[in-house]
Amino acid sequence: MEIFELVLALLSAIPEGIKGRTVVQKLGYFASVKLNVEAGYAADFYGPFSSEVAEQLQNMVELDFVVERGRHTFRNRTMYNYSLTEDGLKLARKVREEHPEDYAVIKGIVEKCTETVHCNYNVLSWAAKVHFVLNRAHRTMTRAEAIDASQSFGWKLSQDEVESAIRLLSALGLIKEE
Amino acid sequence: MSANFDFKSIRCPLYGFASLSSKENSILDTPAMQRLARIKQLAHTYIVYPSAVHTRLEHSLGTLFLAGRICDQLKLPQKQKRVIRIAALLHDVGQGPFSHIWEAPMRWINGEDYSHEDVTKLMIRTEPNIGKALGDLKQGVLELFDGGSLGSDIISSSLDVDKLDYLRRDSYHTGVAYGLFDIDQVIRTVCIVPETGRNYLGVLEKGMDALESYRLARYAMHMQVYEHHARLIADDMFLKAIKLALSDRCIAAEDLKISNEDRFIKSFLRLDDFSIQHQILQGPSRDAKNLIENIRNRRLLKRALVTPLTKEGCPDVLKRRKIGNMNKAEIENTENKIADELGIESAHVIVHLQSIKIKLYERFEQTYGSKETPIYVKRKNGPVFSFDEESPISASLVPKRRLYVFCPKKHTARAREIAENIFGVKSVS
Repeated sequence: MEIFELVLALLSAIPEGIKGRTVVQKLGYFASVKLNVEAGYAADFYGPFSSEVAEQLQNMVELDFVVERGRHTFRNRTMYNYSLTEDGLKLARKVREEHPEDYAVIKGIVEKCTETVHCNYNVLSWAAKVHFVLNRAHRTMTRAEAIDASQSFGWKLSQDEVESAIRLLSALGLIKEE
Repeated sequence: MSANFDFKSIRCPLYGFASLSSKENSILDTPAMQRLARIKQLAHTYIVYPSAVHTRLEHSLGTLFLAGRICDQLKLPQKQKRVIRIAALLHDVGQGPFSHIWEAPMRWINGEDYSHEDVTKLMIRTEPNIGKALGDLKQGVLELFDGGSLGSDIISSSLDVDKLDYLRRDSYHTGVAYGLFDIDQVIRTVCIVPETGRNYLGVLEKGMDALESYRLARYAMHMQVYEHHARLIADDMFLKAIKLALSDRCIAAEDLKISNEDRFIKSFLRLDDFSIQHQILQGPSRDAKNLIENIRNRRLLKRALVTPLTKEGCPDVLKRRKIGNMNKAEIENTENKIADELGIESAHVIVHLQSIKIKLYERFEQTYGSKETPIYVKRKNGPVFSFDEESPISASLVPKRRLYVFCPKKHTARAREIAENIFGVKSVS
């Protein structure tokens, strides 16, 4: 599956659209891990970030497959919402037909994230950060070790945030709790 | 030893006077730096804006001046200021003929990861005249090009002195007013932001409006100047000429391989806008010569097809996706196909997929695929935040992709038919 198709599939799995670039990035991260797709995720301010995912999302907006709407939130932030256009939906249908198993995995990720944490961008970020750290360690870690290791990427995670992250990662089947 | 930055003063139309230290003056006098006086900052933009003939040299002096101002604003120690100013002066010493266009042939030869900064670092590291002028400051200057520090942010980041200078300079020389932003307020409000493990160059919250004006300026200059279609045609014609010159060995690819350091530096120092044109004009390829002569005499290829890659311009979803994601080889094949059907050389057909990567408020990494740092904003009360994420101006303005086909004037009507057939689109003009 190409990155373009992965992002399209993510957007297709949430008919009402995805609220926020961070959510697109983190859902994309979990999808790339589960599907073993190399998306170039690297440590960044808000957690693992892929310029390819960002670029493909932008690509889709420029090609009229995705609508991007900016809105101002009560905290003075600008939130960007993404949803498929009619043409984007047609293309997404094609992707589902060509990659039915991969799409099922992506749909599963989206459903789990919605059920457990309502796709909250903070929790998704924490979970992606913790997974990123654990993945690079190639060994099991205690919560304290995960917190320490995340600091090497410039991330400050509290105990509670790590707990929320682990609950989500466990629900996604991305870690085993001991 | 304290630095005296008033050894020499040079007039600048933007800043009045740019003052230099004795060491900076020595660096300026090296052949490598003086070569920048023969490289236009904006390549073929003069074709659209005749006054856009300013050079990389004056821009380098401008960035040095601004780097000094920022160092003063941040109250950095003199020792650090010295190194940062010199890095700013040298930051474009690795630029090739016609500036950004030269990146393409260098990538063909050295691989996709190539950037002119590689040449800049190489020149600083090994060019003897620069080395002599730098003395014991060489290592410190080099380190600033590796990123990951406050000093390197001043040289290269989302808010670096390079951009601060070239936006206003390009605006001044083109006569396009959109590039004028409140630079004094931006500089007045820069600050140091300790975040995620190091010090970043940031901005105080009260500088956000000035920052907005800077971002708007960047966007407007891209839309009006840098992405002008006539400039794109001239750039593409030049690239075709370079390709032909490489294939018939009028330009030796081995001379442009960075891995052959000594040979590369010798030949690179001879390269500038004039020498490369001269080299091609003296070379064997008639097509390459014609392309260069046509650029010089403003006999550009004409637009045969232009279509936005939107629902209206290209209703077929699969075709739109395919066209929007064409790679270099596919573009070249299409040019060959169109040229074959027209019965002309492929040197005279250009297919250009325009993608304006400087959307109003896009994520910093998306800009030319570079890895710029975020612009951090320091609140009076409250946590530091990333400017990109909290700019109040809507980001809904998204320039769309456009497909262009260019060819000689007498073939435009037929080329349009052929291109519309190949791509399955309708030209809008």
